[in-house]
Amino acid sequence: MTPTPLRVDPAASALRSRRRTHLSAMLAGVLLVTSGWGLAHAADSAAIERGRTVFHQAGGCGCHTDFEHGGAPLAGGRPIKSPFGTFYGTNITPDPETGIGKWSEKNFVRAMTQGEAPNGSSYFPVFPYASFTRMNDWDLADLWAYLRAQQPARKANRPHQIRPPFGWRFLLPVWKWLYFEPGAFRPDRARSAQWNRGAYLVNGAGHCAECHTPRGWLGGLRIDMALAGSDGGAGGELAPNITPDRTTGIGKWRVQDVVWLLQTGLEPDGDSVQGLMAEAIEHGYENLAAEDLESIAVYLGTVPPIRHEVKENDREPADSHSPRSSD
Amino acid sequence: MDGSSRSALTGCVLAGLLLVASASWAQDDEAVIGYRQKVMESQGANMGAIGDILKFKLPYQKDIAGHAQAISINARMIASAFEKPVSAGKTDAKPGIWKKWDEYKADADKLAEASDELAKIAAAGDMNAITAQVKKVGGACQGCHESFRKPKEQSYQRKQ
Repeated sequence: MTPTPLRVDPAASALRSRRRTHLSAMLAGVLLVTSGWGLAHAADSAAIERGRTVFHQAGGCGCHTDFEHGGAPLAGGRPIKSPFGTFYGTNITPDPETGIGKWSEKNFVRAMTQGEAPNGSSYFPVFPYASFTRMNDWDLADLWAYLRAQQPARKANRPHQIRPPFGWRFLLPVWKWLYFEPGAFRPDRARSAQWNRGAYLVNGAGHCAECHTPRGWLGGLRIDMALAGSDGGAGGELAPNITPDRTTGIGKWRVQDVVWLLQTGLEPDGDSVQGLMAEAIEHGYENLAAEDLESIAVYLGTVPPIRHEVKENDREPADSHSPRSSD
Repeated sequence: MDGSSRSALTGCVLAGLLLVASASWAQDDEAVIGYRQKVMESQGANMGAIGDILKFKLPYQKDIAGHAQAISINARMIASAFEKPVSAGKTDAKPGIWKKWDEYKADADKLAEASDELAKIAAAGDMNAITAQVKKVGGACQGCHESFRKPKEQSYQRKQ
């Protein structure tokens, strides 16, 4: 067991957030006096820029873009295959009718941290709110500013095609009760700032566990197998073991190897990553500052190593006829 | 020897010949697969070498151009290495290669072009430009693997 991280005192966190608000109000006041109304706009664009970074931390939210069919960015419709059926990414552009144009920031934060729609219904955990709930208030606010600034695209959401009983939305609160633990990331004061930054990015916006941790039969992440690889990653892909196990994981990789992979999509042996990971790198991770990528690498090097070889689980790609060897 | 035993003997000989022929075919297929894998592994080795120079800041920056040229030369051999349609056996090649041969060949050409460009850029020595072009070469690998190679976790290596 790793030492239990200390929970940040919510009162202290609120206090800090109030202080920040006061400070920015004071600064804004000073600046407004000196340069007039243009400032509000400048503050907005600063938030949007920071939000772009948060968007990159999240891997570019590609599940909401139907790249394959040339869909408008973030307008949804992308199929995401799962053992429970096919989900379709939703429209998260600011279009008021088909997107999230009518949402308030509060609606957005509630969706990200509680997995609840504005009407109070629960989201399927294919939307990785179990990870996003670890994000800080200010990162969520910046991400909201960024999403608000994107091009609205009118495209109605496509209903998910999920086998019963998994498709019964009213059962989701039970699922959440079993598997969902809301709450922002709790820094571990015994660890370095770099480690905490990595832990925050991996477990929050980066949502690495959503593909790299195997799921139980109800679709809950198996915490005992955290990051040990899964044959049922999003889109039916195989997600490798990224724990520091030396034979089945990335225990032999150095910090620079992880950074390089997240910057270029290239593995230490010169091979390229595939599928969703290639996308998340191209639209997200590769844009992050080297220090953040290093933090991720340092943190990943400290998670419990788990010996687990990801196998294809008797599935063959549809167009493959290669016979299995007789071992 | 009567007629029927003569024809039986001829049948046996023919069957034997066929057996030998098919065995040597099978052997050829295995050799083809082995050869292809070596061509591909050397691509990976050169990409990995370039990666090592850049990520560990090794003092071999002047050799990036050479590695890029090696990838380009190899890329031009990919098409001929895969001309023979062998998709059974211990291989990760998908049969789609031969169903969409033109697309496959175009992908190999893309890799050759991207690595030629890398060789040029590497000679100029601008690290950011080099890294950006390495990404493009990696993108050429990735694009083709996405369409024509089985995922790593399904690799023949895991089945042995």
